[in-house]
Amino acid sequence: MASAGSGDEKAAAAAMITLISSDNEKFEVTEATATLSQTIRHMIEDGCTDGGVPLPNVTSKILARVIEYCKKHATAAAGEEGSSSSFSDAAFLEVDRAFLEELEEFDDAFLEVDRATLFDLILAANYLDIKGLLNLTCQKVADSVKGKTPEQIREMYNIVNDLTPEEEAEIRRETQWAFE
Amino acid sequence: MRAPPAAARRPRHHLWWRWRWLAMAGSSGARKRKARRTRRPGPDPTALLTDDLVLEILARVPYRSLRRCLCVCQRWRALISHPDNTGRLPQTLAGVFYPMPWDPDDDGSHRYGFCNVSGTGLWSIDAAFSFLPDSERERLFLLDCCNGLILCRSYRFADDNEFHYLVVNPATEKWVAVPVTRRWSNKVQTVRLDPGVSPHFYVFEFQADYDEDGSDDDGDDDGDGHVLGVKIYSSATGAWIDKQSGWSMEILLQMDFKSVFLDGVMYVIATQCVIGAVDVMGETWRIIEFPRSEGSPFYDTGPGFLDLSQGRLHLANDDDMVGDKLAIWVLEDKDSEEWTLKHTVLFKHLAGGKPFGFGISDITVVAIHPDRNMVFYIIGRYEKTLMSYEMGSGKVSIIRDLGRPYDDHFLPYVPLFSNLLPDGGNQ
Repeated sequence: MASAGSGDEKAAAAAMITLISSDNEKFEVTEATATLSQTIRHMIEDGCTDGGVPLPNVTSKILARVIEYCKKHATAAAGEEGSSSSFSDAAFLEVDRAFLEELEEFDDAFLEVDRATLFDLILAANYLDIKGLLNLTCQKVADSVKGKTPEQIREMYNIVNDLTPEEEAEIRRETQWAFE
Repeated sequence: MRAPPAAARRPRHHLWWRWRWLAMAGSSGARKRKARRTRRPGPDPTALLTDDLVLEILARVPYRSLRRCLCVCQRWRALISHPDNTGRLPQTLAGVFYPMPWDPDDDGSHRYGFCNVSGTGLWSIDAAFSFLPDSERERLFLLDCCNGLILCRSYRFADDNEFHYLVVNPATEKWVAVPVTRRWSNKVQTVRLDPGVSPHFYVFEFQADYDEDGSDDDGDDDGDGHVLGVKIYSSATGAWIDKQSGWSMEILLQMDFKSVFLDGVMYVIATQCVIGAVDVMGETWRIIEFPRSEGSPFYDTGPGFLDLSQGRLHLANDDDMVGDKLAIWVLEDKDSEEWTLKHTVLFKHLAGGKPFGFGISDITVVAIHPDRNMVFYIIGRYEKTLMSYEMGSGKVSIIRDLGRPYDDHFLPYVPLFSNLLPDGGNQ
């Protein structure tokens, strides 16, 4: 688990970066995978990645998932770059489409996690500044809120209702149509 | 009488001034997902998130649900109602772009007005598009509005028939040009704009079976105008693809009525009382029949108005039993053909005491509210008034007298503040 990407000759040939989780587990990944994170990209640009990149805010469990996401999406990004120089016709679009479908399936499967993990992924995506992952995970939570009543949302996320009954009544009065 | 000034120089079939196309884009993230409900009490995971991250989530919630989120807790209410956050959160229908009455002293360019329908007085939109360079603004035609972006044709070239497309975001005053120049032709029939949630958009150009020059006097077959195929521009690839029609029947597009974009598929109304659907790859083509009541005495129904409301396809049409009512149908599942009759209302009621003829010819639906059970329509044959109707309460309201608009090309507009234009757009 710790040597993500080992066995992949191409990956081994590329520059490798070591990421260190909060519980001190080391993950070796290619630069292409790591730089999906803007935070790590800046560290690489500043030349401060020798000896590994400590990520004190991310546990090994979450980091492993994040790396899984980055590896998949880095491959897709590389594929797009590789073909964009010579694209001209439907053949390119066909490849593009296959990529997108595969990525979508991957993303859907990737999101099949428990609620605590989902929120940890949001925090990690934010800390590591991985736009795609942040978008994906926030969308997942937003979808869960969609169409629900305030009571259902509170119950789902154990949110305490600290509005006074008067405040609640006022909000409902202002946009009554939204509660119908 | 309307007298399109430039039309004299154009062929007979030239219908550019009649286009009214619009789609409210469906959220591409609206794939079906199982809502999970946890019984076991535990910590509130949203408490771990910074305000910024809570906003990231709320920004992805549809407007109607966002209004409900106001009622969840103090923190959410404060975040949603704070003026600084308005631009980050989803918006709802702000108003309608409408063509201004034709000015005989004018140079022939189209002018548009913007009518606020939000009831908040919040929106003042620069309908003159003064942020565009003069060269682009001089002969600008609004074609379509979708997800906060407006698709326009700009006839900015020395040759009167040459134009290019602009995609404009009036809220951020950014714009991009689609890198292609076209000569006007009957064959290029319909243009549609389909931005999704990603920073990319699609432009659909339907190719119709018309004679190239559209003139009557050259003796050859002018064609019947049915759709032959579609050209789709993707801002992601910067390329146009060209696909032949895969519809199971020959259809003519209903020029005056808007279309809808939902989950990567565009829906257009055809004169044959069907809806044509085609995906952004131009590969999946589908025909959806208009809803019909059992025992309807009519052979055919009216032209219909298609819109997206609360995430579902809505069709407003003359009712097909008596024909004295506006009927609003919903396609609960877009992949099925099972329409549900949502609401009917007498045209007489919609007229609100104003004189009117009979049926949809004097009452033109211009929008179904994207989040509310509410219809916006224009009443009047020459002098037109924008009105609204609430399905729940039956309340009819006059929004504004519009005089004699230049044409019937109304564009409902939902502002978008995030930057959805590739490369940030020109300025």
